[in-house]
Amino acid sequence: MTLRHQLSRTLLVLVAGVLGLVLLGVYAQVERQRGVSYRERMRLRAYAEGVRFMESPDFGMEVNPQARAQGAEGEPQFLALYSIQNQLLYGMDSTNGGVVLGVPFLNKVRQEGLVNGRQGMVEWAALAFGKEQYNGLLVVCGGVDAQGRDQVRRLAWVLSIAWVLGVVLTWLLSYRFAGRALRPVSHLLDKVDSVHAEQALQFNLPEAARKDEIGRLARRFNDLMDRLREAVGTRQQFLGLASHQLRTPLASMKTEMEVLLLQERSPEEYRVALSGLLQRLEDLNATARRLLALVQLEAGGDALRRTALGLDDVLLEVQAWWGRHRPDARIELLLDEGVEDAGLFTVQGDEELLKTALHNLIENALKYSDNLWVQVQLRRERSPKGYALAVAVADRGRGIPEDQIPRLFEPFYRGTNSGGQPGHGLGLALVSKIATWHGGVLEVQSKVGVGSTFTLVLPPIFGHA
Amino acid sequence: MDRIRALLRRNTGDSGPRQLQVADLVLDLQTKEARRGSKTIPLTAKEFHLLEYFMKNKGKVLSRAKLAADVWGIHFDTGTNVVDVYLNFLRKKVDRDFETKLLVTHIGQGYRMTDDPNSEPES
Repeated sequence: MTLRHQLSRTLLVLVAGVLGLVLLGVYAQVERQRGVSYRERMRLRAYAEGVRFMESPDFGMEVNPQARAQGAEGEPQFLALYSIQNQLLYGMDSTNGGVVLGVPFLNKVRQEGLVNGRQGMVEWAALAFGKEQYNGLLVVCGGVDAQGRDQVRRLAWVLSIAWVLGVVLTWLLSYRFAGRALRPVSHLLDKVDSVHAEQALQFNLPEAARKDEIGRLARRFNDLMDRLREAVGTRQQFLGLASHQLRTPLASMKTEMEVLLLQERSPEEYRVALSGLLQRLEDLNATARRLLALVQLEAGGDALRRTALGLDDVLLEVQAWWGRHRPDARIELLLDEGVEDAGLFTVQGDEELLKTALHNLIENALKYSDNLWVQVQLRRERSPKGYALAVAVADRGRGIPEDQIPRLFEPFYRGTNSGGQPGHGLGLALVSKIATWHGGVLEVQSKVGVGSTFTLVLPPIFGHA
Repeated sequence: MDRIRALLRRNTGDSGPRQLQVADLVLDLQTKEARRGSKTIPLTAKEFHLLEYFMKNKGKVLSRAKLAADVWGIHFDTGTNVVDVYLNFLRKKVDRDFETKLLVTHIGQGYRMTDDPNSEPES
Protein backbone atom coordinates (compact mmCIF):
# COMPACT_ATOMS: atom_id res chain seq x y z
CA MET A 1 0.00 0.00 0.00
CA THR A 2 1.36 3.40 -0.85
CA LEU A 3 2.38 5.85 1.84
CA ARG A 4 -0.57 8.00 0.86
CA HIS A 5 -3.05 5.20 1.49
CA GLN A 6 -1.35 4.29 4.74
CA LEU A 7 -1.47 7.85 5.99
CA SER A 8 -5.07 8.35 4.96
CA ARG A 9 -6.15 5.08 6.53
CA THR A 10 -4.36 5.82 9.79
CA LEU A 11 -5.95 9.25 9.90
CA LEU A 12 -9.38 7.75 9.23
CA VAL A 13 -9.08 5.18 12.00
CA LEU A 14 -7.85 7.83 14.39
CA VAL A 15 -10.62 10.29 13.63
CA ALA A 16 -13.29 7.59 13.71
CA GLY A 17 -12.03 6.42 17.07
CA VAL A 18 -11.69 9.84 18.63
CA LEU A 19 -14.96 11.14 17.26
CA GLY A 20 -16.71 7.97 18.33
CA LEU A 21 -15.37 8.25 21.85
CA VAL A 22 -16.31 11.90 22.15
CA LEU A 23 -19.83 11.41 20.87
CA LEU A 24 -20.26 8.39 23.10
CA GLY A 25 -19.19 10.53 26.02
CA VAL A 26 -21.69 13.19 25.11
CA TYR A 27 -24.47 10.63 24.90
CA ALA A 28 -23.55 9.04 28.20
CA GLN A 29 -23.53 12.37 29.96
CA VAL A 30 -26.86 13.47 28.51
CA GLU A 31 -28.46 10.17 29.49
CA ARG A 32 -27.09 10.42 33.00
CA GLN A 33 -28.36 13.94 33.32
CA ARG A 34 -31.77 12.82 32.22
CA GLY A 35 -31.89 10.19 34.92
CA VAL A 36 -30.74 12.57 37.61
CA SER A 37 -33.22 15.18 36.57
CA TYR A 38 -36.12 12.73 36.48
CA ARG A 39 -35.39 11.29 39.89
CA GLU A 40 -35.16 14.78 41.30
CA ARG A 41 -38.58 15.51 39.90
CA MET A 42 -39.84 12.30 41.47
CA ARG A 43 -38.43 13.33 44.79
CA LEU A 44 -40.29 16.60 44.67
CA ARG A 45 -43.41 14.77 43.58
CA ALA A 46 -43.04 12.28 46.40
CA TYR A 47 -42.88 15.11 48.89
CA ALA A 48 -45.90 16.78 47.35
CA GLU A 49 -47.91 13.55 47.41
CA GLY A 50 -46.93 12.92 50.98
CA VAL A 51 -48.16 16.30 52.04
CA ARG A 52 -51.32 15.93 50.03
CA PHE A 53 -52.00 12.55 51.59
CA MET A 54 -51.81 13.90 55.07
CA GLU A 55 -53.53 17.19 54.53
CA SER A 56 -56.12 16.54 51.91
CA PRO A 57 -59.17 14.52 52.85
CA ASP A 58 -59.93 13.43 49.37
CA PHE A 59 -56.62 11.80 48.53
CA GLY A 60 -57.16 8.94 46.25
CA MET A 61 -60.29 10.39 44.84
CA GLU A 62 -58.70 12.72 42.28
CA VAL A 63 -60.46 14.36 39.55
CA ASN A 64 -58.98 12.17 36.91
CA PRO A 65 -57.89 8.89 38.32
CA GLN A 66 -57.62 7.43 34.86
CA ALA A 67 -55.19 9.98 33.71
CA ARG A 68 -53.13 9.13 36.68
CA ALA A 69 -53.43 5.45 36.03
CA GLN A 70 -52.40 5.80 32.44
CA GLY A 71 -49.31 7.71 33.28
CA ALA A 72 -50.07 10.94 31.50
CA GLU A 73 -47.33 13.42 30.66
CA GLY A 74 -45.31 14.08 33.80
CA GLU A 75 -47.48 11.92 36.02
CA PRO A 76 -45.83 9.22 38.07
CA GLN A 77 -46.88 5.70 37.18
CA PHE A 78 -46.02 4.33 40.49
CA LEU A 79 -46.93 5.68 43.89
CA ALA A 80 -46.86 3.96 47.24
CA LEU A 81 -47.26 5.33 50.73
CA TYR A 82 -46.32 3.43 53.87
CA SER A 83 -47.06 4.00 57.51
CA ILE A 84 -44.39 4.10 60.15
CA GLN A 85 -44.99 0.39 60.69
CA ASN A 86 -44.38 -0.16 56.97
CA GLN A 87 -47.97 -0.84 56.25
CA LEU A 88 -49.07 0.05 52.75
CA LEU A 89 -51.50 2.94 53.11
CA TYR A 90 -51.91 3.64 49.41
CA GLY A 91 -50.56 1.97 46.30
CA MET A 92 -50.82 2.65 42.63
CA ASP A 93 -48.76 0.86 40.04
CA SER A 94 -49.39 1.15 36.39
CA THR A 95 -45.94 0.07 35.33
CA ASN A 96 -46.00 -3.28 33.67
CA GLY A 97 -42.95 -4.43 35.47
CA GLY A 98 -44.45 -4.58 38.89
CA VAL A 99 -42.14 -2.83 41.26
CA VAL A 100 -41.28 -4.89 44.30
CA LEU A 101 -40.23 -3.17 47.45
CA GLY A 102 -39.25 -5.21 50.45
CA VAL A 103 -39.01 -4.34 54.13
CA PRO A 104 -35.22 -4.07 54.23
CA PHE A 105 -35.53 -1.50 51.54
CA LEU A 106 -38.11 0.47 53.46
CA ASN A 107 -35.87 0.44 56.53
CA LYS A 108 -33.02 1.70 54.47
CA VAL A 109 -35.15 4.60 53.29
CA ARG A 110 -36.05 5.48 56.88
CA GLN A 111 -32.42 5.33 57.79
CA GLU A 112 -31.17 7.54 54.99
CA GLY A 113 -34.20 9.74 54.51
CA LEU A 114 -34.03 9.63 50.71
CA VAL A 115 -33.14 6.82 48.36
CA ASN A 116 -33.08 6.95 44.61
CA GLY A 117 -33.28 3.85 42.59
CA ARG A 118 -34.42 2.03 39.54
CA GLN A 119 -35.68 -1.29 38.48
CA GLY A 120 -35.51 -1.80 34.76
CA MET A 121 -36.92 1.24 33.05
CA VAL A 122 -38.71 2.46 36.16
CA GLU A 123 -36.93 5.10 38.17
CA TRP A 124 -38.14 6.26 41.54
CA ALA A 125 -37.47 8.32 44.55
CA ALA A 126 -38.29 7.09 48.03
CA LEU A 127 -38.75 9.66 50.73
CA ALA A 128 -39.34 9.16 54.43
CA PHE A 129 -40.78 11.85 56.65
CA GLY A 130 -39.59 12.16 60.19
CA LYS A 131 -41.66 10.85 63.15
CA GLU A 132 -42.61 14.29 64.31
CA GLN A 133 -43.61 15.21 60.83
CA TYR A 134 -46.50 13.29 59.41
CA ASN A 135 -45.90 10.32 61.60
CA GLY A 136 -43.02 8.82 59.68
CA LEU A 137 -44.82 8.57 56.44
CA LEU A 138 -42.81 6.92 53.63
CA VAL A 139 -43.53 7.83 50.04
CA VAL A 140 -42.18 6.06 46.98
CA CYS A 141 -42.81 7.78 43.71
CA GLY A 142 -41.58 6.79 40.29
CA GLY A 143 -42.22 5.88 36.74
CA VAL A 144 -40.84 5.53 33.30
CA ASP A 145 -39.35 8.73 31.98
CA ALA A 146 -40.84 8.29 28.57
CA GLN A 147 -40.38 11.89 27.54
CA GLY A 148 -36.80 12.14 28.67
CA ARG A 149 -35.83 8.85 27.18
CA ASP A 150 -37.41 9.79 23.93
CA GLN A 151 -35.35 12.96 23.76
CA VAL A 152 -32.20 11.10 24.54
CA ARG A 153 -32.99 8.55 21.89
CA ARG A 154 -33.39 11.27 19.31
CA LEU A 155 -30.08 12.74 20.36
CA ALA A 156 -28.47 9.34 19.98
CA TRP A 157 -29.68 9.22 16.42
CA VAL A 158 -28.31 12.65 15.66
CA LEU A 159 -24.97 11.75 17.20
CA SER A 160 -24.73 8.54 15.21
CA ILE A 161 -25.44 10.28 11.96
CA ALA A 162 -22.95 12.97 12.87
CA TRP A 163 -20.33 10.32 13.50
CA VAL A 164 -20.93 8.61 10.19
CA LEU A 165 -20.82 11.90 8.32
CA GLY A 166 -17.66 12.90 10.11
CA VAL A 167 -15.95 9.64 9.23
CA VAL A 168 -16.95 9.80 5.59
CA LEU A 169 -15.85 13.42 5.29
CA THR A 170 -12.55 12.64 6.96
CA TRP A 171 -12.01 9.76 4.61
CA LEU A 172 -12.52 11.92 1.55
CA LEU A 173 -10.43 14.84 2.80
CA SER A 174 -7.64 12.77 4.36
CA TYR A 175 -6.89 11.07 1.10
CA ARG A 176 -6.57 14.41 -0.59
CA PHE A 177 -4.43 15.98 2.12
CA ALA A 178 -2.18 12.96 2.47
CA GLY A 179 -1.47 13.34 -1.18
CA ARG A 180 -0.71 17.00 -0.73
CA ALA A 181 1.70 16.36 2.16
CA LEU A 182 3.54 13.70 0.25
CA ARG A 183 3.82 15.63 -2.93
CA PRO A 184 7.32 16.98 -2.16
CA VAL A 185 8.50 13.42 -1.61
CA SER A 186 7.19 12.25 -4.93
CA HIS A 187 8.62 15.39 -6.48
CA LEU A 188 12.00 14.45 -5.02
CA LEU A 189 11.61 10.94 -6.35
CA ASP A 190 10.77 12.22 -9.81
CA LYS A 191 13.81 14.47 -9.85
CA VAL A 192 16.07 11.64 -8.74
CA ASP A 193 14.61 9.30 -11.32
CA SER A 194 15.14 11.78 -14.10
CA VAL A 195 18.84 11.96 -13.29
CA HIS A 196 21.43 10.75 -15.71
CA ALA A 197 25.13 10.44 -14.90
CA GLU A 198 26.75 13.79 -15.69
CA GLN A 199 23.54 15.79 -15.60
CA ALA A 200 22.90 14.68 -12.06
CA LEU A 201 25.69 16.77 -10.77
CA GLN A 202 24.04 19.95 -11.92
CA PHE A 203 20.85 20.14 -9.93
CA ASN A 204 19.91 21.33 -6.49
CA LEU A 205 16.55 20.78 -4.87
CA PRO A 206 14.37 23.81 -4.07
CA GLU A 207 12.72 21.87 -1.25
CA ALA A 208 15.84 22.52 0.77
CA ALA A 209 14.33 25.80 1.93
CA ARG A 210 11.60 24.08 3.94
CA LYS A 211 11.90 23.76 7.68
CA ASP A 212 10.41 20.28 8.07
CA GLU A 213 11.71 16.75 7.50
CA ILE A 214 11.33 17.14 3.75
CA GLY A 215 13.59 20.16 3.91
CA ARG A 216 16.19 18.19 5.87
CA LEU A 217 16.06 15.36 3.39
CA ALA A 218 16.46 17.73 0.48
CA ARG A 219 19.39 19.50 2.14
CA ARG A 220 21.14 16.19 2.81
CA PHE A 221 20.58 15.27 -0.79
CA ASN A 222 22.07 18.55 -1.97
CA ASP A 223 25.09 18.00 0.30
CA LEU A 224 25.54 14.55 -1.12
CA MET A 225 25.40 15.90 -4.66
CA ASP A 226 27.93 18.59 -3.76
CA ARG A 227 30.34 16.05 -2.41
CA LEU A 228 29.85 13.82 -5.39
CA ARG A 229 30.46 16.76 -7.69
CA GLU A 230 33.63 17.57 -5.79
CA ALA A 231 34.86 13.99 -5.85
CA VAL A 232 34.25 13.63 -9.55
CA GLY A 233 35.95 16.94 -10.15
CA THR A 234 38.94 15.95 -8.06
CA ARG A 235 39.24 12.66 -9.83
CA GLN A 236 39.13 14.26 -13.25
CA GLN A 237 41.69 16.79 -12.14
CA PHE A 238 43.90 14.05 -10.74
CA LEU A 239 43.71 11.98 -13.92
CA GLY A 240 44.48 15.02 -16.00
CA LEU A 241 47.49 15.96 -13.93
CA ALA A 242 48.72 12.38 -13.73
CA SER A 243 48.65 11.81 -17.45
CA HIS A 244 50.30 15.19 -18.07
CA GLN A 245 53.02 14.46 -15.53
CA LEU A 246 53.82 11.19 -17.17
CA ARG A 247 53.58 12.33 -20.77
CA THR A 248 55.69 15.46 -20.47
CA PRO A 249 58.94 13.75 -19.45
CA LEU A 250 58.27 10.91 -21.87
CA ALA A 251 57.81 13.40 -24.70
CA SER A 252 60.99 15.24 -23.86
CA MET A 253 62.92 12.01 -23.61
CA LYS A 254 61.60 10.98 -26.99
CA THR A 255 62.71 14.27 -28.51
CA GLU A 256 66.14 13.90 -27.00
CA MET A 257 66.48 10.43 -28.46
CA GLU A 258 65.34 11.62 -31.88
CA VAL A 259 67.88 14.43 -31.82
CA LEU A 260 70.55 11.99 -30.76
CA LEU A 261 69.79 9.76 -33.72
CA LEU A 262 69.95 12.60 -36.26
CA GLN A 263 73.69 12.39 -36.62
CA GLU A 264 76.56 10.11 -35.95
CA ARG A 265 78.01 10.71 -32.50
CA SER A 266 81.00 9.53 -30.54
CA PRO A 267 80.63 6.59 -28.16
CA GLU A 268 81.28 8.96 -25.30
CA GLU A 269 78.44 11.24 -26.34
CA TYR A 270 76.12 8.27 -26.61
CA ARG A 271 77.17 7.03 -23.19
CA VAL A 272 76.56 10.40 -21.53
CA ALA A 273 73.21 10.83 -23.25
CA LEU A 274 72.12 7.32 -22.36
CA SER A 275 73.10 7.80 -18.70
CA GLY A 276 71.05 10.94 -18.54
CA LEU A 277 68.08 9.24 -20.19
CA LEU A 278 68.38 6.28 -17.85
CA GLN A 279 68.31 8.58 -14.84
CA ARG A 280 65.22 10.33 -16.15
CA LEU A 281 63.60 6.95 -16.78
CA GLU A 282 64.29 5.87 -13.22
CA ASP A 283 62.70 9.06 -11.90
CA LEU A 284 59.70 8.43 -14.10
CA ASN A 285 59.52 4.89 -12.80
CA ALA A 286 59.57 6.16 -9.24
CA THR A 287 56.77 8.58 -10.01
CA ALA A 288 54.72 5.88 -11.68
CA ARG A 289 55.20 3.62 -8.68
CA ARG A 290 54.11 6.35 -6.31
CA LEU A 291 51.09 7.08 -8.44
CA LEU A 292 50.13 3.44 -8.39
CA ALA A 293 50.57 3.25 -4.63
CA LEU A 294 48.38 6.31 -4.19
CA VAL A 295 45.64 4.92 -6.37
CA GLN A 296 45.81 1.50 -4.73
CA LEU A 297 45.59 3.01 -1.27
CA GLU A 298 42.65 5.08 -2.29
CA ALA A 299 40.77 2.25 -3.93
CA GLY A 300 41.53 -0.99 -2.15
CA GLY A 301 43.31 0.01 1.02
CA ASP A 302 41.31 -2.60 2.90
CA ALA A 303 42.96 -5.39 0.95
CA LEU A 304 46.29 -4.81 2.67
CA ARG A 305 46.83 -6.61 5.94
CA ARG A 306 48.02 -5.05 9.09
CA THR A 307 50.58 -6.60 11.38
CA ALA A 308 52.12 -5.57 14.64
CA LEU A 309 55.34 -3.65 14.02
CA GLY A 310 57.93 -2.17 16.28
CA LEU A 311 58.39 1.39 15.02
CA ASP A 312 61.88 1.52 16.52
CA ASP A 313 62.90 -1.50 14.41
CA VAL A 314 61.38 0.01 11.27
CA LEU A 315 63.17 3.31 11.84
CA LEU A 316 66.47 1.57 12.45
CA GLU A 317 66.15 -0.30 9.17
CA VAL A 318 65.32 2.91 7.31
CA GLN A 319 68.30 4.61 8.89
CA ALA A 320 70.52 1.71 7.90
CA TRP A 321 69.31 1.88 4.30
CA TRP A 322 70.19 5.56 4.06
CA GLY A 323 73.55 4.89 5.67
CA ARG A 324 74.33 2.45 2.89
CA HIS A 325 72.96 4.44 -0.06
CA ARG A 326 73.76 7.99 0.98
CA PRO A 327 76.70 7.84 3.33
CA ASP A 328 77.24 11.56 2.88
CA ALA A 329 73.95 12.32 4.59
CA ARG A 330 73.64 12.29 8.35
CA ILE A 331 70.38 10.74 9.58
CA GLU A 332 70.02 10.92 13.34
CA LEU A 333 67.60 8.61 15.08
CA LEU A 334 66.41 9.48 18.55
CA LEU A 335 64.09 7.22 20.48
CA ASP A 336 61.87 8.40 23.32
CA GLU A 337 63.84 7.70 26.49
CA GLY A 338 60.85 8.20 28.74
CA VAL A 339 59.09 5.14 27.38
CA GLU A 340 58.59 2.39 29.93
CA ASP A 341 58.77 -0.63 27.70
CA ALA A 342 60.03 -1.40 24.20
CA GLY A 343 56.65 -2.93 23.39
CA LEU A 344 55.04 0.49 23.60
CA PHE A 345 56.61 1.39 20.26
CA THR A 346 54.33 -1.10 18.52
CA VAL A 347 51.80 -0.06 15.88
CA GLN A 348 49.40 -1.98 13.71
CA GLY A 349 50.27 -1.43 10.06
CA ASP A 350 52.06 -2.34 6.88
CA GLU A 351 55.86 -2.37 7.00
CA GLU A 352 56.39 -1.48 3.33
CA LEU A 353 53.99 1.45 3.49
CA LEU A 354 55.59 2.85 6.61
CA LYS A 355 59.05 2.51 5.13
CA THR A 356 57.86 4.20 1.94
CA ALA A 357 56.45 7.05 4.00
CA LEU A 358 59.66 7.50 5.93
CA HIS A 359 61.85 7.26 2.85
CA ASN A 360 59.76 9.93 1.18
CA LEU A 361 59.99 12.24 4.16
CA ILE A 362 63.73 11.80 4.50
CA GLU A 363 64.24 12.24 0.79
CA ASN A 364 62.26 15.46 0.89
CA ALA A 365 64.20 16.70 3.89
CA LEU A 366 67.52 16.06 2.15
CA LYS A 367 66.32 17.55 -1.13
CA TYR A 368 65.40 20.87 0.32
CA SER A 369 68.35 21.43 2.61
CA ASP A 370 71.95 22.14 1.80
CA ASN A 371 73.44 20.58 4.87
CA LEU A 372 72.21 17.00 4.40
CA TRP A 373 71.20 16.74 8.02
CA VAL A 374 67.97 15.00 9.02
CA GLN A 375 66.80 14.14 12.50
CA VAL A 376 64.21 11.42 12.99
CA GLN A 377 62.65 11.38 16.42
CA LEU A 378 60.27 8.74 17.79
CA ARG A 379 58.14 10.01 20.65
CA ARG A 380 55.26 8.66 22.65
CA GLU A 381 52.81 11.46 23.25
CA ARG A 382 49.52 12.00 24.97
CA SER A 383 46.63 12.39 22.59
CA PRO A 384 42.90 12.99 23.01
CA LYS A 385 42.36 9.26 22.59
CA GLY A 386 45.06 8.19 25.03
CA TYR A 387 48.50 7.90 23.49
CA ALA A 388 50.02 8.32 20.06
CA LEU A 389 53.38 7.52 18.54
CA ALA A 390 54.90 10.44 16.68
CA VAL A 391 57.71 10.11 14.16
CA ALA A 392 59.11 13.58 13.54
CA VAL A 393 61.39 14.09 10.56
CA ALA A 394 63.13 17.41 10.97
CA ASP A 395 65.53 19.24 8.70
CA ARG A 396 67.37 22.55 8.77
CA GLY A 397 66.61 23.40 5.18
CA ARG A 398 64.86 26.09 3.21
CA GLY A 399 61.53 25.82 4.88
CA ILE A 400 58.08 26.24 3.35
CA PRO A 401 56.19 29.54 3.10
CA GLU A 402 53.13 29.61 5.35
CA ASP A 403 50.63 30.27 2.59
CA GLN A 404 51.66 27.10 0.77
CA ILE A 405 51.25 24.73 3.69
CA PRO A 406 47.50 24.11 3.28
CA ARG A 407 47.98 22.70 -0.21
CA LEU A 408 51.14 20.80 0.57
CA PHE A 409 49.57 17.34 0.63
CA GLU A 410 47.71 17.77 -2.65
CA PRO A 411 48.85 15.38 -5.35
CA PHE A 412 51.15 17.07 -7.84
CA TYR A 413 51.38 20.25 -5.83
CA ARG A 414 54.84 21.77 -5.79
CA GLY A 415 55.66 24.74 -3.67
CA THR A 416 57.36 27.77 -5.18
CA ASN A 417 60.23 27.31 -2.79
CA SER A 418 61.16 24.03 -4.39
CA GLY A 419 63.55 25.97 -6.57
CA GLY A 420 64.20 23.74 -9.52
CA GLN A 421 64.49 20.46 -7.69
CA PRO A 422 63.30 17.51 -9.76
CA GLY A 423 60.14 15.96 -8.56
CA HIS A 424 56.51 15.54 -9.34
CA GLY A 425 54.87 16.58 -6.11
CA LEU A 426 53.47 13.18 -5.20
CA GLY A 427 55.67 12.29 -2.25
CA LEU A 428 53.80 14.17 0.46
CA ALA A 429 50.39 13.22 -0.94
CA LEU A 430 51.42 9.60 -0.64
CA VAL A 431 52.79 9.98 2.89
CA SER A 432 49.61 11.72 3.96
CA LYS A 433 47.52 8.89 2.50
CA ILE A 434 49.69 6.31 4.25
CA ALA A 435 49.21 8.14 7.52
CA THR A 436 45.42 8.14 7.25
CA TRP A 437 45.41 4.49 6.18
CA HIS A 438 47.13 3.68 9.46
CA GLY A 439 44.52 5.63 11.36
CA GLY A 440 46.87 8.52 11.92
CA VAL A 441 47.76 11.86 10.41
CA LEU A 442 50.65 13.77 8.83
CA GLU A 443 51.47 17.13 10.37
CA VAL A 444 53.86 19.79 9.21
CA GLN A 445 55.59 22.73 10.82
CA SER A 446 57.88 24.92 8.83
CA LYS A 447 59.64 28.27 8.87
CA VAL A 448 61.35 29.79 5.86
CA GLY A 449 65.09 29.92 6.33
CA VAL A 450 64.96 27.78 9.48
CA GLY A 451 63.69 24.37 8.43
CA SER A 452 60.75 21.99 8.40
CA THR A 453 59.45 19.20 10.56
CA PHE A 454 57.06 16.62 9.21
CA THR A 455 55.44 14.50 11.90
CA LEU A 456 53.74 11.19 11.27
CA VAL A 457 51.32 10.63 14.15
CA LEU A 458 50.12 7.06 14.52
CA PRO A 459 47.85 5.27 16.99
CA PRO A 460 49.79 2.66 18.98
CA ILE A 461 48.50 -0.80 19.75
CA PHE A 462 48.88 -0.20 23.45
CA GLY A 463 47.44 2.74 25.26
CA HIS A 464 45.02 3.78 22.58
CA ALA A 465 41.35 4.15 23.34
CA MET B 1 70.61 -7.36 10.94
CA ASP B 2 69.63 -10.87 10.00
CA ARG B 3 73.27 -11.66 9.44
CA ILE B 4 74.05 -10.69 12.99
CA ARG B 5 71.16 -12.71 14.29
CA ALA B 6 72.30 -15.71 12.31
CA LEU B 7 75.82 -15.29 13.67
CA LEU B 8 74.57 -15.07 17.22
CA ARG B 9 72.40 -18.12 16.70
CA ARG B 10 75.31 -20.06 15.28
CA ASN B 11 77.37 -19.11 18.30
CA THR B 12 74.92 -20.56 20.78
CA GLY B 13 74.03 -23.65 18.71
CA ASP B 14 73.03 -27.07 20.10
CA SER B 15 76.42 -27.74 21.58
CA GLY B 16 76.41 -24.51 23.53
CA PRO B 17 74.95 -23.88 26.95
CA ARG B 18 71.18 -23.92 27.26
CA GLN B 19 71.16 -21.02 29.63
CA LEU B 20 73.32 -18.17 30.83
CA GLN B 21 73.61 -16.97 34.39
CA VAL B 22 74.93 -13.90 36.11
CA ALA B 23 74.36 -13.78 39.87
CA ASP B 24 70.68 -14.71 40.34
CA LEU B 25 69.73 -13.68 36.79
CA VAL B 26 69.08 -16.65 34.53
CA LEU B 27 68.47 -16.42 30.78
CA ASP B 28 67.05 -19.50 29.11
CA LEU B 29 68.31 -19.54 25.52
CA GLN B 30 65.72 -22.04 24.31
CA THR B 31 62.58 -20.45 25.69
CA LYS B 32 64.01 -16.91 25.50
CA GLU B 33 62.80 -16.32 29.03
CA ALA B 34 64.62 -14.39 31.71
CA ARG B 35 64.26 -14.96 35.41
CA ARG B 36 65.77 -13.19 38.37
CA GLY B 37 65.19 -14.74 41.75
CA SER B 38 61.56 -15.84 41.71
CA LYS B 39 60.43 -13.22 39.22
CA THR B 40 59.86 -14.00 35.51
CA ILE B 41 60.92 -11.15 33.24
CA PRO B 42 59.26 -10.87 29.81
CA LEU B 43 61.55 -9.64 27.03
CA THR B 44 61.05 -8.37 23.52
CA ALA B 45 63.27 -9.84 20.80
CA LYS B 46 65.63 -6.88 20.84
CA GLU B 47 65.88 -6.85 24.63
CA PHE B 48 66.67 -10.57 24.61
CA HIS B 49 69.52 -10.11 22.14
CA LEU B 50 70.99 -7.29 24.14
CA LEU B 51 70.80 -9.20 27.40
CA GLU B 52 72.27 -12.33 25.83
CA TYR B 53 75.17 -10.31 24.46
CA PHE B 54 75.84 -8.71 27.85
CA MET B 55 75.73 -12.02 29.65
CA LYS B 56 78.05 -13.69 27.16
CA ASN B 57 80.50 -10.81 27.58
CA LYS B 58 80.14 -10.71 31.32
CA GLY B 59 82.69 -8.54 33.04
CA LYS B 60 83.78 -6.69 29.90
CA VAL B 61 83.09 -3.03 29.25
CA LEU B 62 81.15 -2.77 25.99
CA SER B 63 81.15 0.53 24.14
CA ARG B 64 78.06 1.93 22.52
CA ALA B 65 79.56 1.51 19.09
CA LYS B 66 80.32 -2.14 19.75
CA LEU B 67 76.81 -2.77 21.05
CA ALA B 68 75.33 -0.95 18.08
CA ALA B 69 77.39 -2.99 15.68
CA ASP B 70 77.01 -6.44 17.27
CA VAL B 71 73.42 -6.29 18.46
CA TRP B 72 71.84 -3.93 15.98
CA GLY B 73 74.11 -4.28 12.98
CA ILE B 74 74.70 -0.56 12.79
CA HIS B 75 78.18 -0.03 11.42
CA PHE B 76 78.17 3.53 10.27
CA ASP B 77 78.89 6.57 12.28
CA THR B 78 75.52 8.09 12.66
CA GLY B 79 73.72 9.49 15.63
CA THR B 80 71.18 7.32 17.38
CA ASN B 81 70.32 6.79 20.99
CA VAL B 82 68.84 3.36 20.49
CA VAL B 83 71.55 1.71 22.61
CA ASP B 84 70.89 4.03 25.55
CA VAL B 85 67.15 3.63 25.25
CA TYR B 86 67.30 -0.16 25.19
CA LEU B 87 69.80 -0.26 28.00
CA ASN B 88 67.26 1.75 29.97
CA PHE B 89 64.53 -0.77 29.14
CA LEU B 90 66.80 -3.60 30.21
CA ARG B 91 67.78 -1.89 33.43
CA LYS B 92 64.14 -1.30 34.31
CA LYS B 93 63.31 -4.94 33.79
CA VAL B 94 66.41 -6.60 35.19
CA ASP B 95 67.84 -4.28 37.85
CA ARG B 96 65.22 -1.88 39.17
CA ASP B 97 63.34 -4.10 41.59
CA PHE B 98 66.44 -5.82 42.90
CA GLU B 99 69.13 -4.81 45.34
CA THR B 100 72.22 -5.84 43.39
CA LYS B 101 72.59 -3.85 40.18
CA LEU B 102 74.06 -5.99 37.46
CA LEU B 103 74.32 -3.41 34.68
CA VAL B 104 77.00 -0.84 35.35
CA THR B 105 77.68 2.38 33.43
CA HIS B 106 81.27 3.38 32.78
CA ILE B 107 81.10 7.02 31.85
CA GLY B 108 82.85 7.76 28.58
CA GLN B 109 83.46 4.07 27.94
CA GLY B 110 80.31 2.10 27.84
CA TYR B 111 78.38 -0.49 29.84
CA ARG B 112 79.25 -3.68 31.68
CA MET B 113 77.31 -6.58 33.13
CA THR B 114 78.75 -8.07 36.28
CA ASP B 115 77.65 -10.07 39.29
CA ASP B 116 79.64 -7.81 41.58
CA PRO B 117 79.14 -4.10 40.88
CA ASN B 118 82.12 -3.18 43.04
CA SER B 119 84.59 -5.26 41.08
CA GLU B 120 87.00 -3.92 38.49
CA PRO B 121 86.27 -4.50 34.80
CA GLU B 122 88.16 -7.15 32.91
CA SER B 123 90.53 -5.78 30.35
